[in-house]
Amino acid sequence: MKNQSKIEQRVEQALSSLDGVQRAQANPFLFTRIQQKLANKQPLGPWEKAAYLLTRPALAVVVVLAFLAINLYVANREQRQRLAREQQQYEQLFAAEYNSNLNELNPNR
Amino acid sequence: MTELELIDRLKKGDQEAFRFMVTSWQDMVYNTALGLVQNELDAEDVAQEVFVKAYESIQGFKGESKVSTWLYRITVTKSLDFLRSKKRKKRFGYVYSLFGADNELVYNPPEFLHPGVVSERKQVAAELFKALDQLPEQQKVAFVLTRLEGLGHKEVAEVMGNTVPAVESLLQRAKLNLKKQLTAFYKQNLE
Repeated sequence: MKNQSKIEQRVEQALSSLDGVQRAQANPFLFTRIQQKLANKQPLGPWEKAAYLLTRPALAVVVVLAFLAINLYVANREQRQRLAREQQQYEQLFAAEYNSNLNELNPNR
Repeated sequence: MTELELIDRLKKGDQEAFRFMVTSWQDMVYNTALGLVQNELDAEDVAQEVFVKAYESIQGFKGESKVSTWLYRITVTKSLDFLRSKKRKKRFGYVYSLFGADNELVYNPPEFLHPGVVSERKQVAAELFKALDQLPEQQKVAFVLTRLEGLGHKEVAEVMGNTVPAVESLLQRAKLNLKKQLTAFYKQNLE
C-alpha cells in the first residue's frame, strides 16, 4: 500500500517534470553548417546526370526488358529464316530426285 | 520584416532572408527535433535537414499557413523519418549482437537529459522521456508539441493536419500510456 502511493507519487512527479521547461538552444553555428550542406549539394553535371538516370531501378528494368524482347525477336526471325532455307533445300532436292527418277522410268524421253 | 516579405525574398534566393529565417526559428526547430529524437547530435542533424528542405521547397510554399507551422511540419516529418531509419538500423544491430563475440547488445542508448529541464527534475524527466520514446508516433508528436513547445491544441492540430478533438484524444491517450509505462517502470525499480 505504501509502495503503491510512492509509485503514484513518482509517476505524477515524472508527468509534471516538464512544467516550466526551457527551450533547448540550437548550435550557434547552425546557419554556417546549413550553408556548407547546401554548398555540397551542387547541381549534377551531364555525365553525373546520365549515370544517375542509368542507375534508376525503373530505367534498368525497362532496359533489361527491351534487351530480352530484342533477343527474342532476333532469335525468332533467325529460326524462321533457317526453316525457310531448309524447306527450300528439301524442295530442290525433291525436285531433283523426282526429275531423275522420271528419267529412269522413261528411257525413251 | 513581415512573413509575406520574408517568403517573397526567400523565393528570390535572398541569402540574408534565409539567414533571418534560420536564426529566428532555429531554437524552435532544434527543440522540437530534440524532444522527438532525444539525442543532441541527431537533433542538430535533423535541424540542418529541416532548413535545407525549407530552402529547397520554398517555391512550393503558398503562404497559407504561418512559416512556423510550415517549419514545425517539416521538423516532425524529418524527425519521424530519422527515428524510423534508426529503428531499422537498431534491428540490424540487435541481430548482429546475437552473433557477436561478447554476446551483448551493440546499441544501448544512454539516458536522455533535456537541457531545458531544471536540474533537480532532470532524473525524473529522463524517466518520462524513456516512456515517451515508447509511445506511438502521433501521440508522441502531440505530446512533444504541447509540453515541450507549449503549443495550444489548435496549433498542434494545424501542424499535424488533424482536428482539435483528434489532438485532444491523442494527448489523452498519450498521458494514459505514459502513466501505464511509468507505473510499470517504478514497480520494477522502486520495490
